[in-house]
Amino acid sequence: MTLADYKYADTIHRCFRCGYCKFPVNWMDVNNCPAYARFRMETYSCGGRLWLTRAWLSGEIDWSDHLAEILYSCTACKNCEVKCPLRFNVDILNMIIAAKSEMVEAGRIPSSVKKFLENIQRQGNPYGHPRVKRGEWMEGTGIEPYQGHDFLYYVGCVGSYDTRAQEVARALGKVMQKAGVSFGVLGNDENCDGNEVNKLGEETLFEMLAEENVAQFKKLGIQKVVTLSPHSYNAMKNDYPMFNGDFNVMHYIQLLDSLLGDDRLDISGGYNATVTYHDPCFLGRWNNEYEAPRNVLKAIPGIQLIEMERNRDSTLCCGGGGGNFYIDLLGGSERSPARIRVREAHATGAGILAVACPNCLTMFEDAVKAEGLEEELAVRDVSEIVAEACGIRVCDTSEADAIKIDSSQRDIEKSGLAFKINDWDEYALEAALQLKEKLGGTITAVTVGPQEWNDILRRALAMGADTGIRIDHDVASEDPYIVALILKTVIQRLPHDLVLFGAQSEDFGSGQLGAMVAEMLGIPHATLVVSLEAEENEIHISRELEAGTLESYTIELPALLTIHTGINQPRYISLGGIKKAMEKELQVMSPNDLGLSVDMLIPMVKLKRLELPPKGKEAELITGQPEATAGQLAKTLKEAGIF
Amino acid sequence: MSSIFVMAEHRNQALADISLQTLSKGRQLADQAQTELLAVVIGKDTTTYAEKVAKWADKVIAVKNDRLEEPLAEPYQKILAFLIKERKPKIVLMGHTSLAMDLAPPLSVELECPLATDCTDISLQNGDVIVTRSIHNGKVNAAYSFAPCDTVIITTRIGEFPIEEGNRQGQIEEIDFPFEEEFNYKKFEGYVAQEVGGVDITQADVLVSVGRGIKDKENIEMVQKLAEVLGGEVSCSRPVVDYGWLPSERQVGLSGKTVKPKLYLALAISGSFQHVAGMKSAKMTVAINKDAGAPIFKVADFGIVDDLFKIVPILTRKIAELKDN
Repeated sequence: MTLADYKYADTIHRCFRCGYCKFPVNWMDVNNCPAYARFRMETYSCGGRLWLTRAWLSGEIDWSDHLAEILYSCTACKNCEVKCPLRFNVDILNMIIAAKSEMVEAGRIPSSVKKFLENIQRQGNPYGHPRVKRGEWMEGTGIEPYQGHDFLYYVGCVGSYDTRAQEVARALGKVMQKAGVSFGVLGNDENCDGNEVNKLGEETLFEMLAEENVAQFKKLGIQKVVTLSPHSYNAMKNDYPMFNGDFNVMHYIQLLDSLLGDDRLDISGGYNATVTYHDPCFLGRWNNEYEAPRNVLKAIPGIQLIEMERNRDSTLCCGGGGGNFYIDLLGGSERSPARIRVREAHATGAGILAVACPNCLTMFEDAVKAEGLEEELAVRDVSEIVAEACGIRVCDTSEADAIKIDSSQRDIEKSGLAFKINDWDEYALEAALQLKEKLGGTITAVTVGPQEWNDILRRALAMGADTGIRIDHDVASEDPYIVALILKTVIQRLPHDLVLFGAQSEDFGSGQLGAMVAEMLGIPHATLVVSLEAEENEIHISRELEAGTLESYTIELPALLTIHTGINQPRYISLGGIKKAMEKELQVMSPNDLGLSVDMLIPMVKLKRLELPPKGKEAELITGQPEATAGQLAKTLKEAGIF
Repeated sequence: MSSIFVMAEHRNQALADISLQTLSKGRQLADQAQTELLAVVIGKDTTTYAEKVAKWADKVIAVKNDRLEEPLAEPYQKILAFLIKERKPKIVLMGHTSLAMDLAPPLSVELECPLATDCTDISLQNGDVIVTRSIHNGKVNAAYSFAPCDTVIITTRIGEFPIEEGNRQGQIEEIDFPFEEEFNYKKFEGYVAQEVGGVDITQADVLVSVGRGIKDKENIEMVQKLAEVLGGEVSCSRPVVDYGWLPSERQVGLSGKTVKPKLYLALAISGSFQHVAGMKSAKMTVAINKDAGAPIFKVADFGIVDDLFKIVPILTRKIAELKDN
């Protein structure tokens, strides 16, 4: 990537860092850019990021973890865009997002962002929780699956999975039920809306999510959507039309406002509190909705609404936008924007900080605890306040354990589990890529498994392998010797200088394959390799021993190594990369094609049965709300004489 | 049943604990099967090791050669293959160590005998050998049997089998093993000293230890504050070092440090056996983890099933308050 190829090559130089992008409305203070407020360094402001981006793309500075963190600490809150006085202000945030896209394409992004995007690729949510658990929040609520209702109630990832936000999702559902709104949900079939994915620069993944959601909505005949999260609202309202998704999209606060106007909500129960309202960026600055939430709050008997000094288009972002509610590059400090904002809310004298966004809710609840303000300030979503005014009580559901053994007692239930490249193998592949980048050569990725594993091979190709070979053989829980024999037969046919394996698999953890294949091929090997340098005819490696010591070897090529975690930082595999890899051809062979007959593949080690481990000793669990559990634990530690 | 072999491993002039654990298990199996336990020690000078392992063994085979100063997989493989072919033991046991990772798989291929690694239990049922392995990150146990064969090779999980003091006085048989091969294709270059920093977590009374769930380097600061009010140090599990969030000198576990603090506070640590092996001697263990099914709750004395980001700030404050009172 060079500056010339960059989408904003013609305009990025026009920022001369006047600094207005950091201002709130009164231009007396510079703390309205959340990342700048946190770090107080020009590099973390929009202007600083633009200059760094230009320097990076023109080769004046190299990519680094630090540079990536600076770009990804942008929460896409749009304060800079609103406050920038220059004509190209409409593009300054897009310039940052385009720079993130370049990093995504190169696979060089902060590890937390990598995890976030991989989780969405695999499970359709940033937490990596199973898709089949997405609808669990609604158990016992009587909320129906969408079937020709007036509205689709789109809950989003945070409302579906975060235990606190689930309460809000249920509260809103009950309010709509009580008002007689005709609505249904998608439950486990709901997918990520992609708003954060888009702002993190993973364009292809966003396109895929948008296209899939639009197709699903159309197939179900959905015309009107009401969203729990302003983030979903923003993507569906502003971005989905580009994917032929012309739905009538509302944020729930707008629906509640109109229900109150039509006198369809009985809020006579009231809510006695002094409330201050925080404008979420994706409702306010991104979509200009400032009045509906205030109308709703003012309508509720007993509420006294007071404003924080920074409000409406001068709101201070909670620091959770642009995926930061998960990747959290702004956390861990008194100057974290959520904590600054919570102190502001507290200073108004309000007892309730009201929000209309599940991301803001979780960010502020944590900040209130960090500030020790739990007794004085509570964070509530407007839907919860309305629910209480309507006399609704909200129940809770708890999480279940993930792994179950199937009825044959020979395998685990796979529904809900998504396949990924084994951790160790990913490090091995990255090691291969780095060698290729330095010394040239080609990389062949080989796997033994059923057809579903083509996806894993595609990911390897997307990461940079040149060709992929799958041997079609079901190996679940079988003797590693059989897999080693198959792999040896393939590798023998391919010219090779170096054969890399992951040191072990995440599921079975035998750690046998690589060293077995080496013996079968008659080449030297080393397992648990944590550093690797290659020369023309030999490699220098170190391998891990117990208790933090290493031993080093020089090994002649060809050789086989099994790679341990931590040897490198595996790059992110963008969905764009995976799509390109779809065009590369995979070679599929059967053991028979390799001259291996069925009777050569009889395992010597045989699985008898699977069992869940015996219960045994269990910790004494301290249960309750965080305030209570942490307090109890502190007492227990004091009584034990720890401090 | 024919005999049982146990390979006893040593490094830095000391027998490894895992070898004594494996010998104890081997003794138990040999008594049950009424067969001989043969301990194999290999080295430049094996006298002290041989005398020690004789307490568990009916016989000790001490293989000596000047080139065997360091335990290296290739010569070990040659020696063991020779001995196994000659004496045909039913079971060959060794600890699931870094050496065994290099050694056991090729040995099983060379001898064409089945191999089960990292086993948490071994039993004899009607003359058949049954092993148990812990899979899917400790959440499932799998039992395996073997096809009919002369010998099976089994590696034992570290810390899984208690050491039971031996009371035998096995006879020691010394063998000088000549090598024809030079092993030039794989040259041992030495041990690499560990990076040394300012902190020695093995000396800390209180360790606040974090796992992958800490999500980012930035968040270490929050944990550091908790460690400070407790007067302790921050330690971590392996992924935290792999991601470069903390230096390796703070890693607890098999590949890191073994610690024995008064309090081990495990935050978002799932409790893989590799990690537990490094901290199970802590006097008091407290786990905070979102996953109620995490194995760490089986090790901990007290637990809170919750998000560390919710608990840690409150806990830090509560402790500070209690200290002030």
